[in-house]
Amino acid sequence: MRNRAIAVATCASAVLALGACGQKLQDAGPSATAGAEPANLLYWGKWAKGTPQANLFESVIADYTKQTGVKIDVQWLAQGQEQQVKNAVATGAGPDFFDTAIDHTAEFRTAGVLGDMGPIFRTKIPGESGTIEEVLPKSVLKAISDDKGYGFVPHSVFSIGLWYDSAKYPDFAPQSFDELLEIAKKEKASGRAPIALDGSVNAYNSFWIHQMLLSTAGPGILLKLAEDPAAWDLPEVKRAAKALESLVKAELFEPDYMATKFPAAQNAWAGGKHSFILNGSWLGSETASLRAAAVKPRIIAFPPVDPAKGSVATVGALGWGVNAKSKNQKAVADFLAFAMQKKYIDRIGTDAANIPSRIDSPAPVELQQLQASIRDAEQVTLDGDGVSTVKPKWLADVFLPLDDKFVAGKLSAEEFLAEGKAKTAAMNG
Amino acid sequence: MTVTASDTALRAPSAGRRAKVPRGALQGERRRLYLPMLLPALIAYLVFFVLPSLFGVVLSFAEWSGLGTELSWVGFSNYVSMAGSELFRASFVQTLILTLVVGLALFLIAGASMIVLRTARGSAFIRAAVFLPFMISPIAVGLAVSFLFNPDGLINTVLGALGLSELRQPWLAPELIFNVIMAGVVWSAAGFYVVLVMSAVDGIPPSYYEVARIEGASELQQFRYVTLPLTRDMLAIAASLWAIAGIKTFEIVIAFVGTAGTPPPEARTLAVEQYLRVTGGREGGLAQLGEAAAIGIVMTVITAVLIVLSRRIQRRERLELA
Repeated sequence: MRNRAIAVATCASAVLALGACGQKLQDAGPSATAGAEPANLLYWGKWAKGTPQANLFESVIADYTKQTGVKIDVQWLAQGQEQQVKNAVATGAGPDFFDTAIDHTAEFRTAGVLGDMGPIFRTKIPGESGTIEEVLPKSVLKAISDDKGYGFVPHSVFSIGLWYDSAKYPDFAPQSFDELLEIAKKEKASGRAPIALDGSVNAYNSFWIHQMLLSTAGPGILLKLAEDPAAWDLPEVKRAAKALESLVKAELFEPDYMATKFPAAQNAWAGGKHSFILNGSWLGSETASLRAAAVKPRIIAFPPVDPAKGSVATVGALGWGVNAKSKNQKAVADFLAFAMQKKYIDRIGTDAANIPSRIDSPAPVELQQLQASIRDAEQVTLDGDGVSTVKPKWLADVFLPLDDKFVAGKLSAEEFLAEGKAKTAAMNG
Repeated sequence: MTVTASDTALRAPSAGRRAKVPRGALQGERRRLYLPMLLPALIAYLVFFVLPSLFGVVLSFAEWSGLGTELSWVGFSNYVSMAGSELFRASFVQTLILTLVVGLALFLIAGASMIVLRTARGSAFIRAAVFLPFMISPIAVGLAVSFLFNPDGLINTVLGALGLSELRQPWLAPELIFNVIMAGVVWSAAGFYVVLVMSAVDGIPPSYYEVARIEGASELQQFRYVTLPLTRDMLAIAASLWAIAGIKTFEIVIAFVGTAGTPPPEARTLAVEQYLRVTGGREGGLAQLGEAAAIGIVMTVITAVLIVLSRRIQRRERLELA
């Protein structure tokens, strides 16, 4: 009896102790750095130290501190930084601002990390006539927004497009998917596998059907497919599926493409073994060190399956999110406006070989056609129509496995559509 | 040969015997010391194991995406959703296949080593060499093996060079990748189990084998009638350890897939499926911690069942060396 009483008391004290911890975390105030020295800021970055972006941002911070006296403590947290931000903010601590990307806005919103960024976007950039909002293309502003407004201040933009070797194809400008198909078939007939694909990366496989669907059915089609089984019967969807089927049947991908060990295929493309690869705008800088001397990579928007429809650009962005609980909102806004000066954002193109977010900052030569496509796009959408944040389970459990089979040639277009419809209906109940 | 059966030594003292222990002053002093000595460990166990485990069980009946998000109760729907999920069922079956097939391979390798290494020259060196892969990080093993099996990798290149091009395969394609992963796990884990069972074999007096040889027993018979009965306990421990490790197979699968994308459904284990839910599927989705907890519960139950089964199969009277 005595032992039982002691056991109960021990359990109760442990539970109370834990409960007290939880209460303390819940009740803690905003950013720990906020109180004592409001002028000093804490920044949690995702880049590895020594990368072009980390070097660039450190130099911006150094310039800012030199000019204003405001110190910014930067911590490079690398992979998994988003989770650390969410956990820290939830417990009342965390940085004043942090690195983020377009596909993390939803989770940061859900976790209560993000607030109203309108005032920050309306901050005037020092030494220039415009505000942050005014120097960004409309397509980018649209892409970084959700129903609660802007998610973050973007410094880099990325998109999905068709990479090709301009040394081999100096006048490459297919006006339609059919034209691309003919070019690739000719190359195959000459004994070369024209298209590289790391088929073990399901997201890369899904680029194909998504780009085709965008040109036939417009932005948001993946979301429709996730929500409404009847959408799988749309003629526009069937047209895109038939286009992909024709590509797979023509055997234009490299041999054994579903069995490559990433990044074998993209490295082989950079080495000049294949002429084309559908991938992100980041691929040029990612494979730069492996590039064959004769290869001159360029990227264009994916040739439309239906050229009669308006252009749709897939837009992604990287940038700085602001902790809604930070007490240094004004100081963060001032720093971000400083960092958005043209002289710094230009360096996203020159130093980091990415597309700068500002409308007047030029991209590296290999990305310029794609940058123009983003700027001039009639419609924009997120990578994968943003399904990964809205319907992640459908994407992971239904769409990607099915798409893998389709790209592998194990399903016909009809089977792909029928299975997609049935599985979506089963998941949605 | 004097192998005696004695299970009485293992029996706990009966209540009757316990009652007869005299309760002197020293005994009372000891009893008073039990609690203060035990309490720190008890509290640590409670706080760091029991409560988190209970939280995991509770979480499996909820929907939650982590700190800062709302937790809502969903009853058994995480379990129902798992049962209806093709991907979960596939990962469940694959985990069982991996545990059983690799377990069988490890048992055969361990058995063969018990026959061969006992008398082989350079036995210590061979054991060290076989143990080496176990010391290497599973991530490194997975990466190395997957590069070997790339379409342009060493395996296909060697097959081509040997004129065996018809045997070249897309090893990392979804239909074959799981077999390659299992081969990688066998290569990586075999050394540990060989060393484990050989430590038991080393404890058997050589005189038993001398008697067996004099009586005309072959190597296989010596294994059957001497080695096996006297290492049964260690084999049971090895089987339990493997059941735990097999069900939790994770890093090597991730290493095979690399840094991009998610493992194909054909290659996923329960631990991988759980990881994908904890991280939101690596596609930027929200963490599904309730489902992940439910998968954890299923893994724990399977592990417990496999351990009980392996102990039952191995259950015999304890043999002691006299």
